[in-house]
Formats: sequence, structure tokens, C-alpha cells
Amino acid sequence: MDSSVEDFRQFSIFVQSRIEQKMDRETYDNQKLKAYLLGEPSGADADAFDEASFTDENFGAALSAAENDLIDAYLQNELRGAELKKFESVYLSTKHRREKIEFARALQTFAGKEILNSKTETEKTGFFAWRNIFGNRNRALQFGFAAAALLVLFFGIFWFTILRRENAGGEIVLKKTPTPENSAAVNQNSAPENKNSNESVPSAIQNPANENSQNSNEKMPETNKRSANVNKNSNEKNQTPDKKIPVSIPQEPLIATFFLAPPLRGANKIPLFDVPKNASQINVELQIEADDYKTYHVTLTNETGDINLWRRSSLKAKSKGANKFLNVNFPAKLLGNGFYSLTVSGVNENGEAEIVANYPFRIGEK
Amino acid sequence: MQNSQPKKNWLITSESFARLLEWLDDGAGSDGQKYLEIRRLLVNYFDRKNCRSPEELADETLNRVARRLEEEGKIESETPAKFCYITARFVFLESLRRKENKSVSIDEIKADKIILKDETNEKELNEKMLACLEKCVGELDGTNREMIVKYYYGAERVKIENRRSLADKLGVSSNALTIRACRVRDKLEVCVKKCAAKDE
Repeated sequence: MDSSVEDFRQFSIFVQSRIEQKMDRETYDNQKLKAYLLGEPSGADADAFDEASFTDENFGAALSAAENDLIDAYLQNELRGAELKKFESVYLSTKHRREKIEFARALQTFAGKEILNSKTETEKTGFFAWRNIFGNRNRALQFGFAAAALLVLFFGIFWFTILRRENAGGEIVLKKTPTPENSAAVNQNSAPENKNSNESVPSAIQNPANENSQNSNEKMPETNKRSANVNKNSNEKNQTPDKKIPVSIPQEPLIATFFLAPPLRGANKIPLFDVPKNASQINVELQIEADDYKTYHVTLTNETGDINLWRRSSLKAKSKGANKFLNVNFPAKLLGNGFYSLTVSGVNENGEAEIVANYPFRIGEK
Repeated sequence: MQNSQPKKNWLITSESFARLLEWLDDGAGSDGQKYLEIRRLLVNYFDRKNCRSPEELADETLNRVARRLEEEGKIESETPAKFCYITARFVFLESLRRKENKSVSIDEIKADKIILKDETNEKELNEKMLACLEKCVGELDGTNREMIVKYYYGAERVKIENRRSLADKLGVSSNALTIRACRVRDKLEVCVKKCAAKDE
């Protein structure tokens, strides 16, 4: 019995290698396979594909691979427009295929965890292993650093909301900076604008698996509320349109700030931001899942990823509570309406850059 | 050419099942693996046709093929895979006719339309699936385990770079790596389904 099992195993390996060799010579049109999976060809074409899926092993293997790639692309938000609509309306219509999606999601989550665990294991060995202060034997140090991180966070919020607002002007989160010429218009419109800007922020916040990002982003609307209250108070005091708003000093350029959480390997939509037309700079806070590198590069690319629009090197991660962030600032004129991506790469000990994460986002009405 | 009308009283026996396995193997001696493969192809076929119960229809197809083998002793007109496909087409067309004639109850319509939105339940299902996946991946050999993890890690450029370096490391082409990963993934999917069903 054991020999027959071994014979079968050898036979399977032989068959598999022959199929792989033959597949090297034959390639199938991936677009046609995708279209077939999304129900597009009908009649004789569909019948031909149906039959080939049984009778041609190579076609069957290519079809299976195309299906897996399609599912993975959907989970990683790589499908767009009509293809995405087709996928959601046709492919997701059966329970069997929805179960395949769930399995694929679990597989991606598992793969991510395994890779992170293998990185952590590497850090725990070797010459610098004893310096791993986040290891199991250093609970006291862990709590100490957590407490210190909380103190830094509170101080950071204090500085950002009170000290910074007193000392600087013009750097307003998703809000217009009034100039002496239009201070009247801004005074009248500031409350509704704050409401509008806060409505666009949740597109970056609504990330149900990432509660930390939600907590840190909830601070932003409070900041805007506080600014709105100050403006409201100044409205009540200053009835004439010529009076200036004490909060903002119009000499500084307008900076629009938004936050991007790490892209989850799941069916999440790409965040959409509305950047004010007169914003001169865009400030982005990129949350990273782990601070594994000393320095980072961040590259801004177009939708297809083949054109680099802007790049910044030698960035260091900053802490906000338990979370790590990279802060980047680039000219607003680089962005028009459309899809973009910020790619974060970590620089390893050999000086080589390794891609850590991609943060896709979309700019709406500008 | 083929009598596709089902005989309602016919039941598959162990002898007819063994004959079916032997015929599907076509002399290769796959120890039932060919049956499982054909069944998988049938399930996928009926699923692509948006049939509500692809597994039931796949089993009905194989039952008919087994009946035909028992009645005629052998089928030599087509290869096993093609014959199964032809039978599946008839089964599919009949299922369409049945669907047109059958009145569907409101409960069935509701059952189709309701998508589970209970987050707690969904979270538990995901955790169970991850636990099963960990168990199933643990049963793979070292090479396949490393391959499947690295193949599915990352997004866009990270994923492409990982796959390229993985193919180089294994000494295979990208196409060959894709097929290999696909096969391991299919095996894992079957394993996880069995594991999850066992725990229920």
C-alpha cells in the first residue's frame, strides 16, 4: 500500500512538471479569461471555453490562475470602473464564489501575518537580539514605553491644538485660511465649511478593522470644531465684515492635511479627498503597521504607478500613541482629480529600499 | 446519442462507483484523485452558470455517467472528461427548465438575497477560517509552505517582486510558479472547507 501511495505521489509530481513545462510554451489571453469569468462571452465562444475547461488541462490551469488573480485583485482594490462593477454584480452573485472570496481574504491575511512573524523572529536572533526591548521578557519596559508614548501623544495634542494655534496661522486642516480681502466671506461661511471638510475626512477614517486609526482621526474633527467655535465667537463679537479673525494670519500658505491608514487586504474602498482649490501644500500622515526600518522613502505616483511625481527620502517614523506615522508634505499642484498612490519603502541595513506598503487614494473635486 | 432522462429509481452502488472511478482514471490508477478533479471541474462549471446548487448538480452528473457505464458496460465514444462535460450540459439545461417551471417560495428568494451582516458571526467565521488555514498550511511540505506564503504576500509591486524572486529561487518560470501556487491553493481551499465543516 505504501509503495502504491509513493508511486502515485511520484506520478503526480511527474504530471505536474509536464503541465508546467507545457504551460511555458502555451499562454492564454488573460483578458479573454477574465471576460469569460465575468460572464461576457456568450453562445459558441462560451461553449468553447466551457468544453476546454474540461478537456484541456492547460486551459483549466490558466483559467483557475486567472480566477485567483481576479479575486486577489478585487480584495486588494486593484479593480476599477466597469470591471469592478461587473465583478460585484456577476462574480459575487453565487454563494460558492463568495466563499472563494472569503478563503482568499483569509489566505492573504495569513500570508501577511507569516511574513511579519518571520521578520520578528529574525530580529530576536543575532547580535542585537538582547536589544529587543519588546520581547516577552521585558514587560516592564513595554509598559514604560507605552506610558511614555501616551505622554508624548498628550503633549503633541496640546501643542497642536493650543500652542501651535497661538503661534502660527494659516495651517488649517481642510479649511480655508481667511486673507484680509476675504475674511468677511470666510467668517460667514466658516461653520458650514468645517462641516464639509469633516465629511470628507471620514473617507480616510472608515476602516473598521483599524480602531487605532479611528481613534486618532477622531481628534481631527474636534480640532476643526474648536476652530469653528473660535470663528463663531469672533462672528458674534465682530459684526462688521472688515474685522479680522484672530485665529488665522493670512501670510502662511494653505496646507490641506489628510490621513491614510495602512491598506487592508480586504474589500475596502479607496479613500477620496477633496482638496481646496487654493491649497498650496498637501500634508499626509501615513500610518505604518510596524517601524522595522531606520529610515523610509516615500514616492508619489500616478494611477498606473509608472510615473513618479514626487519623492522624499530619509524619513523617520514618528509615534502617536501605539501607532507609527510618516509625515510627508508636497505641492498641491502635483495632484489633479484622479487616482494616486503613495509608496512607502524601508531602507535596510544594506542601504537597499524594500517596499513596505502602498497607499492608494483619490482626489475628487478640486 | 445519450439518454439524459434521469431514472428516478436508480441508485449508485459501490460496484458502479468503482467502475466509474476506473473509467475516469482511464487506466492511470489515480486512487480517486481523477474523480475529485472531475467533480471540482463540474462544480466550477455549474457555478459559472450561476446555478444555485453547483455541488448537487455535479453529483447528479456523475451519477448519470455511472448509470450509463453500468447500462452499457463501457463508453468509448468520448474521453471521460468530454463525456462528463456533455452530460453536465444536459443536466444544466434540465435545471434551467426546472427553474422556469418551479414556483419559488418567498423564503427561498429571501434566503438568496440576505447577505449575512452579523459582524460578530463574520468575525468568528474569519477566525475559524484562519485557524483552519494555519492547520492546513502546517500540513504542507516546507517548500510549498514557503511558496504559498510568499506568493500571496503584498500588493501590486511588492507582490510582483516577491513572485519574481520566488520563481528565480525555485528555478521555474513565472507561468509554472503560477500553476504550482494555484494547485496548492486549491488543495488548501478543500482542506480549509473540510476543517471548518468539522468544527461546526
